[in-house]
Amino acid sequence: MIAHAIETHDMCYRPGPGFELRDVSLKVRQGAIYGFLGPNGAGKTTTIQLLLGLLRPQGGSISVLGRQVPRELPRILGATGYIPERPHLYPFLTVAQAIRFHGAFYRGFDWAYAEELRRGFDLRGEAKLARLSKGEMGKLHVLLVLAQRPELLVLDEPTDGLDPVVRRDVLSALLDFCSQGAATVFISSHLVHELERICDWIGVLDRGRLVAELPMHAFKNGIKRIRLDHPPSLIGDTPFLLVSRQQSALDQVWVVRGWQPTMVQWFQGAGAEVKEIVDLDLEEGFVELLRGARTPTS
Amino acid sequence: MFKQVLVAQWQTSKLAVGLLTLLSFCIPLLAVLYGGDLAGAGRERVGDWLVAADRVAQLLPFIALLVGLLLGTLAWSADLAGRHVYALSLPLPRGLYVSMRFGAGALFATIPGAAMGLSSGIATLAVALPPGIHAYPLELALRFWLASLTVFAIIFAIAGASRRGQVITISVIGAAVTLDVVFLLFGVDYSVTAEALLLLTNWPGPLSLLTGRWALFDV
Amino acid sequence: MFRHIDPRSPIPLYVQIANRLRVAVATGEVVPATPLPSVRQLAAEIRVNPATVVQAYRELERDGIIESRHGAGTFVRELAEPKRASERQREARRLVRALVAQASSLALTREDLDHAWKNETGERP
Repeated sequence: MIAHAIETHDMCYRPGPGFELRDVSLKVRQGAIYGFLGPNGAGKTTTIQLLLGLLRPQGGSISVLGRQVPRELPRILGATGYIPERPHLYPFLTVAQAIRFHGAFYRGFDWAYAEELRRGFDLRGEAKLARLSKGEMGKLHVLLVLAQRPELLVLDEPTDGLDPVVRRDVLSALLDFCSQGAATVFISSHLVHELERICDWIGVLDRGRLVAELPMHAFKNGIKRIRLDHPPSLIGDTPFLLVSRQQSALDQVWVVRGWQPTMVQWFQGAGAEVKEIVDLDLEEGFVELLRGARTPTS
Repeated sequence: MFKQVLVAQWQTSKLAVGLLTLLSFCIPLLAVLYGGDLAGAGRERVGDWLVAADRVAQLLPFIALLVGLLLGTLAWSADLAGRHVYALSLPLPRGLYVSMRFGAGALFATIPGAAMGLSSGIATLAVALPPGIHAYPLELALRFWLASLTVFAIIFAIAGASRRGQVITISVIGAAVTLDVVFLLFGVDYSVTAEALLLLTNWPGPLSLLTGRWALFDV
Repeated sequence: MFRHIDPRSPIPLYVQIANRLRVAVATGEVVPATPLPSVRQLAAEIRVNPATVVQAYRELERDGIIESRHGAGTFVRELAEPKRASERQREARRLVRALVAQASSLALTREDLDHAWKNETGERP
């Protein structure tokens, strides 16, 4: 039983000046629903392409489902369902033909499940892929990867550009599949609120570096916005991780990680008064984390 | 798996295969259209007829070229449109996938060849040849088929090459052309492209099948 | 029933789900012996991580609100009146806690709240 479905060590990729992935060390636990967050241009799609052997890294090691990339790539891909950012299926095929084509390559392709999903998603078999709406195409992608019954799902912005109804259907099918077995899901998205419901792990990528990787509850519970009066000007060692500091007209706002309620004493000891401690939701936490990662706090 | 690749590739290639098959079928028949009952015809008449038939038959290498060109690119058109992402994400070694695409395309390239062979046979039977003139339907069809396959293989390799491979190919051709221009400017009596073409089109160069005289009827 | 699950709230999702069921059971909205949806069904329906549903069910089972019968599924237990009353009180306290916190941050007094309450419920002030 392998511990990590995806594991990279100091993965590096630099196709040219102006973009670089550096020292990316991901650890995605078996059975987790891992949300990969990051602003546009951070390198999320590139990371996924590296994981699946579509690109070759310049440094570091990559292992997926316990096997090395790229040495054992066909075996990895046989157990992986991949939905790329942009549609990649052959547009001249019909839905039925696309299912037949895809299923021919995967041992254990569940034809009955594919048919059940097709009916559930209301996709007509004779419809040509070129004529499908964005939502229907999105649903077809999900159908194909779920019918593979994979051990790992790698989804690059699977619900991007889909209307809320389709998004609900897609997420439901995904979660239904997850409940049936121990599949690992690696889902990259900038729709933070969606990830908030379904992910139990979060990895944050910014400007090519992995800035944070931790369980969802730790991320949400540990990150707080603290409003202070008489804040200490000099800071030595803090029991928490200071993400950012901002001075407003009335007071100073600190964003910290790894907060425990007992840490109020530290502020009192420093002569400050804690006026308010606010929980941040995932989106706010994510924004603050990025802000902290980008500006050095002294 | 191969069946599905075949079916998918047929979807992109079927129009081209249809047109080329029709074309290949017509040419040998056109070649004999100018004929008639030549059994008792005089030398001059036979001579004229041979020349006319020859002229039509000379279209065949161009059609073989077209077969290879079209089917070689159409073999990859589906994947090129999606930048190979789908094919690269499928769980099979890249070499196996490329072989399947090649096999399907080669199979399709055989269809015009077979049509051409069939019509050559019909043409030969339909014409009463004067003594001393023989028909070479089988040889011609074989040559046509091999020529189409050769061009197909070359175009297939270029169309399916990685970005790097294609860049290298174009760079080499570009370098050769540039060199020739330089030679021309400096009055050097040597042409890289001409030499290369000579190498390719003369035996044992791969394109030698295309050059030379294509004759359905000969002495 | 779970339309108001808010992933942005600091309260963990599994707690929200468990509480919602707790209240439903305590107020009689859901009667004893009602079968609950399977983890798979509920996770897909409200679109949350299946592990979250598992955790919620586990908590409720630990607190004796629901029980799982082998092969038959998960069902609401028959709760004695004292237990239901305590659950109702728990929910009421939770509501009042939120109200008090908000009111104090807006510097509203008990009188303001009483007045508003009477207005809303139609009592004569």
